[in-house]
Order: sequence, then C-alpha cells, then structure tokens
Amino acid sequence: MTEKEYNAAPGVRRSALWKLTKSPAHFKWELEHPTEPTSALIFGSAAHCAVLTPGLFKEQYAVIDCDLRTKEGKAAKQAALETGKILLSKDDFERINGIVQSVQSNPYVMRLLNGPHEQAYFWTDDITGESCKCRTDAETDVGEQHYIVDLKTCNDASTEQFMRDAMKYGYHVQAAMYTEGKRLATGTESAFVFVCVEKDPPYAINILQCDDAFMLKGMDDYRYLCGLYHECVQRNEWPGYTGFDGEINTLELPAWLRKAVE
Amino acid sequence: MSETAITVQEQQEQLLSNIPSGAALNVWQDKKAFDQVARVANMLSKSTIVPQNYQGKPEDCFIAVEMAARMNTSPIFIMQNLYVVKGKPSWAGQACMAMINACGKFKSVKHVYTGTKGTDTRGCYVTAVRVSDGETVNGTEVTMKMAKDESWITNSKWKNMPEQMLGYRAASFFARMYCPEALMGLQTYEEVLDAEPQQKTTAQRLTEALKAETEGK
Repeated sequence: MTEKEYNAAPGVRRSALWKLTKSPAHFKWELEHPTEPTSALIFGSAAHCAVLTPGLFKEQYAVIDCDLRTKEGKAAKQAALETGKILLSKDDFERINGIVQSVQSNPYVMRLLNGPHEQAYFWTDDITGESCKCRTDAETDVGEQHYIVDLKTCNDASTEQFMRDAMKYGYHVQAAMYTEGKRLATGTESAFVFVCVEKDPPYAINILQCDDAFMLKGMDDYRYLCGLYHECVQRNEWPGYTGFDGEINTLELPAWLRKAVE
Repeated sequence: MSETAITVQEQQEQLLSNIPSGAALNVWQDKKAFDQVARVANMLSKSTIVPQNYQGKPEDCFIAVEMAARMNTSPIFIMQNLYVVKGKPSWAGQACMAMINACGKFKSVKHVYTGTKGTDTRGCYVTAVRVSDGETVNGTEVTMKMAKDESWITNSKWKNMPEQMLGYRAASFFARMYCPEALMGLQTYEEVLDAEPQQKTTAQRLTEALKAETEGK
C-alpha cells in the first residue's frame, strides 16, 4: 500500500489523535486545514525514505544544489515541482547520507530493520468502535519475540532527551497504539523498539526498547484520546479548552509559587 | 559515646520497656498504647543514633515501634533493616535470617550451599529444625540458573556477590514458605531490586539475541 493510499484510507491515526491533546477544536481545524509540511518534517520523511525504501528516494526527492533565489535555482525548483518531487537542499541531502551510513554501519539496527517495511494495519477499537489505522516502519522477529521498529531522526538521541520528546510528541501513544493495532489485526503480540538517529554528525544512534510502564502510559493515553475522539464524533462537537460543557477553568498558581502566599 | 547519647539511650530504653509487646499492643484501638508509642516515636525521631532516614520523622518511627512490638523485637532492629526501595518498604536481606531465628518456630537455622561455586549449578537453601515437631524442613533451593532465568542477574549484586545473594534469597524463600508472618507481608530489599530491572532485562534480552545473531553470522 502506498503512502497516498494509506493516507486516504479510513481510520484515525496516532499523529491525528495526538492533536486532540491540545484541544478537539485544534484537531478539527488542522484536519480541515492541512498545512504545508515543515522543513523538519520533510527532512524526517526523506531520511525515512532513504533508510527504509532507498529505491523510491530518487522518485520522490530532488536535490537542489544552488540558491533557490537565483534564476537557475528557480528553474530547477520549477522542474522538480512539475515532476511532483519534493525539494531537498544539498546540505540536507548530505546529512541524510550521513544518517544512512550511520544506520548501515550499525549491525543491530540493520538486523532490526531487516523485515517487512511500511506495513499498514486497520482495526476497529473494541471499546469505542472507532476505526483506527497505523503503518509500521519495520517489523522483525528476534528470537521468539516479534518487534515493531520505528525509525526516528532527532536532534538529540540520548535516552533522557528522547523520553522528554516521547512525552511531548506522543511516541508512547504510538508504541501502544501500533502494538495494539498489530495485535487486533493479526493476533501477534509485539514489543516496540525505537531506532533513534541524530540528524547531525556524528549521526549517533540510540536503540530504545519501550518498557512496560512506557507502554502502559501509552495505552492509557491512547484509550483516553480514542474515547475523547469518539465522544467528539458522537456529539459532533469539537470544543476548545472549556470542554463539552463550557466549563470555566481555575487559574491557579503552580505549587512552587503558591508556597510564597500560603 | 557521649554522655548525652547515653542519656537518650537510657530514656529510650525506659520508654520502650513500657510498651506492651505482641498481641497485647493494639495502637489502633487503645488510645493509651497509641500515646505511648507516639511518645517513643517522637523521642526516637530526635535521636541521632537511629538511622538517618528515620531522624526527624516521628511518623516513620511510629511504624517501626509498632512493628517492633508486634514482632517482639527492638525498634532499632526494624529501623536498621527496613528500607524504602522504589517506594516500597522492604527488609534488608540479612534481616530475613534474623527474623526466622526470632520468630521462635525454628532452631538450628542454617544455609546449605550446593553445586559448584562460580557455575550455574551453584545454589543455596535454608534448612532448620521445626520446634513444634522436631522435623527438619528445607526451604526452596535458589540457584544461579534460577537467578539467570528469572533475570535477577541484571541486578549487579548477583554478579559481584553471588554467594551473598543466594544466601539472602534462600532465606526469603524459606521465610515465605514456613513463616510468612515473620516478614509481615513485606518483600526483602533484594526481592524488590531483582524485580525492578525486569524492563532493562527485556532490552538486555534483545541485545543478547542480536549479539548472538550478528556474531553467529
């Protein structure tokens, strides 16, 4: 299944669900007003493509080795856009090469990525009845355990920073949702591993396997978000910060400041 | 020991002697007993002789005194052997043997080591003579293979002092089987730590499996 077909297929995906954490209103707005992908997102997708599906890289990306403001640059940009390709600067391309080389020189990462790529799963959430979908980067069996492997390009791949990023961007929900989707769609129980590669030299790699607590937190948040999504769909209401009942929130000092006045 | 310390200790001993022990103490129903234990706890919390994690914490000292009375032992023993590990109150490994001895149900309690030292066959169990019927009872044997299979081995102490860990674990196994009430439902420090790194173990298992595969090629 191509990315286009997957995008068009019915079902709510993790990245969309995660937008509900801001508010249902934001979720709906972004769904109805898709914005152009940011340069960071383009870079991440290109790196993904170069590592996981290198055969498609040339078809999908064009590298521009000149200033886009010049006549030559404008012409090159136009030529690329006409073929439907996404533009990458030479600097980005070099960094993507660095990432590919770093990945290829790590035998554990190569082993983990040695399995079917971009597998799509569709399932019906058994509690809310909502349709959900996910697409795994790679899957493999090591020993008797099945692993879902997700490649992440990051500025800082240290375990501590990645944990902070995970909570900020909902990677724990991804881990829980993907393993749950795989289980419901195929009956296979999986463990979840992140392969994190830094975007800049020395393109350091970290391999992180999610622990039980991480998965539980992910499952809790997935359940909550799926429930909230279901509620919004049922009511056809997409509230901002005041919730379905228009509640007024209390503006309270954080604990460390409250001490000063108590 | 300074004069002040001696005075504090004497006062503690005097106060402690007023506390009834075992079933006679019910601080949760008897106000007099509660007040007495609270006074002792307050006094102990001000002492610099009690372990640091109890100093200035009369509530924790209260629990220690109450537990000591129920177990017919000294609050100081409780304080020296009861830690909070990963949010759980847990007995020090060495306390387990002491509690088996102190519960009064057994005599001639000792560790028996088996197998070859330094190998997976190395094991340990606790054996004792039950006072009530004079029968010899043996606890479950704990082996290095079991430690590996159960992934306790990720706790570095199993690598650095395996004999000691086998002994601690054998004692807690014995106590769990023959005198669980002696542990008052709490785990030992080693049990909590051994159970804790299971997740690291999962990652470690993956590392080992990948290592085996990639080196095997």
